Amino acid sequence: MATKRVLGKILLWIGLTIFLIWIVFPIYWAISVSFKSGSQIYTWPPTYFPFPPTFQNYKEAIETRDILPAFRNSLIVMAISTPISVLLASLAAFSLARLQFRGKELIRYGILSIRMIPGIIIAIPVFIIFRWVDLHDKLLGLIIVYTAFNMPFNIWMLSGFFEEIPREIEEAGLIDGCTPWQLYSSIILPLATPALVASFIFCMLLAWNEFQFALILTFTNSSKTLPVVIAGMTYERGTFFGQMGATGALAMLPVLALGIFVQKYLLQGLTAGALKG
Amino acid sequence: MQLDNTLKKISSDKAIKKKKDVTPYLFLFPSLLVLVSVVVTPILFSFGISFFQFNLNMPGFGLKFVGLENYLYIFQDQQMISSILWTFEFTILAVSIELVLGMIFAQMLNSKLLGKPRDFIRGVFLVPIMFSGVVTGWMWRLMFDSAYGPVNHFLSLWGIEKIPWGANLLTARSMILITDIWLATPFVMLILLAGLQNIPNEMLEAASIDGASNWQKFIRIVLPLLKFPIMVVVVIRTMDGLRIFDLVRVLTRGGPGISSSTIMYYIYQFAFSYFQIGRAAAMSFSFMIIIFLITYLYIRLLRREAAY
Repeated sequence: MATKRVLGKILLWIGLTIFLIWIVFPIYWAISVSFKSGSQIYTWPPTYFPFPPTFQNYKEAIETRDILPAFRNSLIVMAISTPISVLLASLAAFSLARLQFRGKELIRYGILSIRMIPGIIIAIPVFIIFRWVDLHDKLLGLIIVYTAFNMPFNIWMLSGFFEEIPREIEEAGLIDGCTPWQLYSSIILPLATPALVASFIFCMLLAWNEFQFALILTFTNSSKTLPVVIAGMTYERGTFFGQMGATGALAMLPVLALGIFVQKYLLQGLTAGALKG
Repeated sequence: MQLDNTLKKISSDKAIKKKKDVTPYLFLFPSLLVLVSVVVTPILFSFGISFFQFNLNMPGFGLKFVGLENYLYIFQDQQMISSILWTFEFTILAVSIELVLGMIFAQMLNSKLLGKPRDFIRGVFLVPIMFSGVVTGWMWRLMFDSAYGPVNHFLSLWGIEKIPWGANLLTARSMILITDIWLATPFVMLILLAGLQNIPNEMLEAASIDGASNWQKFIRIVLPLLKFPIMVVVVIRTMDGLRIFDLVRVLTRGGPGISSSTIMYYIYQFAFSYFQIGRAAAMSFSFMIIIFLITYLYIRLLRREAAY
């Protein structure tokens, strides 16, 4: 029995190690490329340890590419669309989770089905409409689109969380004569702080990562976001690996840093909906 | 218990009285306003365009009513049809591989033998979930580089010659598939792991006492209990797979030719490289209906399963 246990443990760790390498190695490789000099990048067999490391790629990428404006644009879009989206979604989620009204199921399914819509079907008309109302190539345009696109997922996730808050607490509030607004702002919201944090994080990630709309709706440095700049670089055949690495690493860093601090919320948000239904 | 029932009665009485109240709608109003103006209106607009010739490159967009022509065109467009087929192949392959791998690794992480390192390992798996398609595609392009990439180096250790990944239909498609598996397996695994952790230990122990093998336990107990999370994962991943765009754009740009171009990428090119907005709208509309149908079927299946 004891040997079987040891054997099981060894097999388990072999499997997990393979999985860990499979997940971590591409990230390591990309970051290591960003610290390599040209002669370390363009060799066969590949160099696996960038030694001595160089910061030249970062310097060149920042000086010759549109990285800093793109970084700024991504930050602005994320910082403005996220709080608006979470706030509006929490209002709607409260209504769906806690209040009784006609047409609730219809609205709920309507919102859910918006989640399934392929982006392109909206992107085409939005592209034309934005040209008419002069919102194309503007950060405001992206902010509006992201705010809307984050909403269905947020409403779905938050209403799931809100439903879990025990009715008794709210009923006590009702007996005390709370208005729905007071219920929302002083009972439900404070109790659902972890859920709000989770949906905040998802909004931030979506805004930071979104590509399709950004590609279609932005053209110049005044509004191009990081994903658009990176995607643009990946197809300059072979020549700028170092700079590509540096740009990608810069886009990755905030996400990795965020991830370390918010793991718990991320997990909660991801699993909540899937297990309850 | 008594108090509980009274409270329920009070609140349901209130709920009935509230039926004519506008408050619930006031709470919904801001989000619905945004969704209607940014999502619903454009869709209707798009539906309208799909009956017109609408070319961004022509003066006045060359606007002309063409009836169903844009829709009929879809059936004649061989490239469109082949990209639809590839999109479905991709989705079926990606979802099934991710489901199997996700299940294997979820089982590993759920093992009692693992102990403390579990949280750390799970933390590592959260990383791909936070990554964008663009950054992931960019990473794997470096990995797959035919001249200097580590994938070809790894293969060369086994005596396989350098593969020009982007140059052939099969390798270009595999590249997208492999990258997608990297990106999405951790998500599948985490959902399944959460499901596994919900299974009461006593059930499995009771089965062991009755002499059930691990495999029997998995088939008879674990799988039926995981039905719901599995279905959820399959629905979400199927929708994502059918809509894949970012990876295609970054890894292959649909090439060589259009052989790795998925349906979303094909429509994108139609609209923004050939400027045939009308046709692209018709294509995206038809595709949306396909997605809705598939989701509807899934949900019906889910409901039926839930009824048992």
